[in-house]
Amino acid sequence: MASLKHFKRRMTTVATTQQVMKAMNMVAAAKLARVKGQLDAARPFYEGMEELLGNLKGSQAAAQSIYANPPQANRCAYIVISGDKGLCGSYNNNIAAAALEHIQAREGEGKSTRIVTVGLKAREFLVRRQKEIAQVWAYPNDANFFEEARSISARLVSIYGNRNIDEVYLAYTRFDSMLSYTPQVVRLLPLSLAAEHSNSYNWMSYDNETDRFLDRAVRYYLAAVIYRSLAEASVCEQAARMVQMDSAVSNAEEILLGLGRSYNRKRQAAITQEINEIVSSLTITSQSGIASR
Amino acid sequence: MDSETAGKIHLRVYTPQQLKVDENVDMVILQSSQGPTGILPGHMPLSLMLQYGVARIVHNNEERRLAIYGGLAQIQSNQLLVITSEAEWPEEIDLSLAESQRAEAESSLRLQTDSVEVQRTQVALRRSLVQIEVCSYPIVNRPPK
Repeated sequence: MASLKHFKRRMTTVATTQQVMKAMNMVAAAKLARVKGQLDAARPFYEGMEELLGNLKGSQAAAQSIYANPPQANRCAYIVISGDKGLCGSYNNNIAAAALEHIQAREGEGKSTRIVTVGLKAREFLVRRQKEIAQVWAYPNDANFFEEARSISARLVSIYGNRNIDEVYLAYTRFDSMLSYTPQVVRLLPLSLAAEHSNSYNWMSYDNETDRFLDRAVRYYLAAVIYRSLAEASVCEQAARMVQMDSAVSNAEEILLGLGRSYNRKRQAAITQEINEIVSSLTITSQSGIASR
Repeated sequence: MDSETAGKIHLRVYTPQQLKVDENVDMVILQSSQGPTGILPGHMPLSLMLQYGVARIVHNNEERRLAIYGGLAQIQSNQLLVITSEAEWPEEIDLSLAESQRAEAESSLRLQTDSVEVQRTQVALRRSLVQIEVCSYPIVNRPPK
């Protein structure tokens, strides 16, 4: 009964896979709870920082700083945040595709681009599409998103300070709900620090060394944006993985049910056939008079 | 403006971990890069850089102290925003740990020559000194009326 054995083996495979997926679901749920906590902290921090920066808008020092006035370099840099691992539905592809679209639009305008990815999956996607990846930055552990965001922010400020890049973009996935994630491409630099209303005067003063204050404010602001984006993206990744694994587990359940039915049918057929054979051989032997003895 | 918020400063202290403080107060004294800077209601719009230090928060004749490790502060329309990478109340600080970190930093500072390491140790030292300072006050300190 080779086919019965075959069914049995497939059922074991599906059941084992299902166990793995259940475990992955649980791991994703635990990670999700952790990164969701980070996101709940990162959102207000970002909003506070945005408010502080918003109050500087239109002040002369801010409007004239290098962070509001890019050099004419015709080069832009992209930071793309994706996951390191797959098995989370279209999460990685969606963000990489959104970034690619944005990059191609810039290149269509005759700008050269430089791409840095955080996480390996966006790199794989973009390399397959003949994009050159300047650097890959390791995906931070969820315990130190802010530290990593600060170090990325410092790197960005120093790259931008070299005056050969005029725009910096960040691609990440925003978390809306457990089932809805939106890929976002936002401009990090230059900042729009011009007054929103041309007739308002900003009375903001600075305690000393305005340039140093602005420098620190921009570093903090970028760190806050990146911190939040890392948290948003991580929540999306874990939520997507949880949802995927959940549906994979129930899918496996269905397959197991189907396989179980076919297996039982096959087994029943085999038994029936065996009985048939016994009965028919009995009939033959009784007809030949051996059984009547 | 109702009587609750009239003549008050709305102080918010943001850290990456949480919104540490969100309340109306009478006066705040911050350690800016220029030294102690007192903020009263009606202050002109001002942006400050903070150094490692103890902020004094006065409300209803009660004074509390908060250790703030650098960052930014800004006052505008009686809204005082503080953005910092870390802030601690005295009761959150382990004083004996701070003392030992201070001793460790001081002794390793004498041995180190690498400028990056020296800088890092100086930051650690400053941090433990602020921790010790903020703990050296009584937790609730009522100034005379």
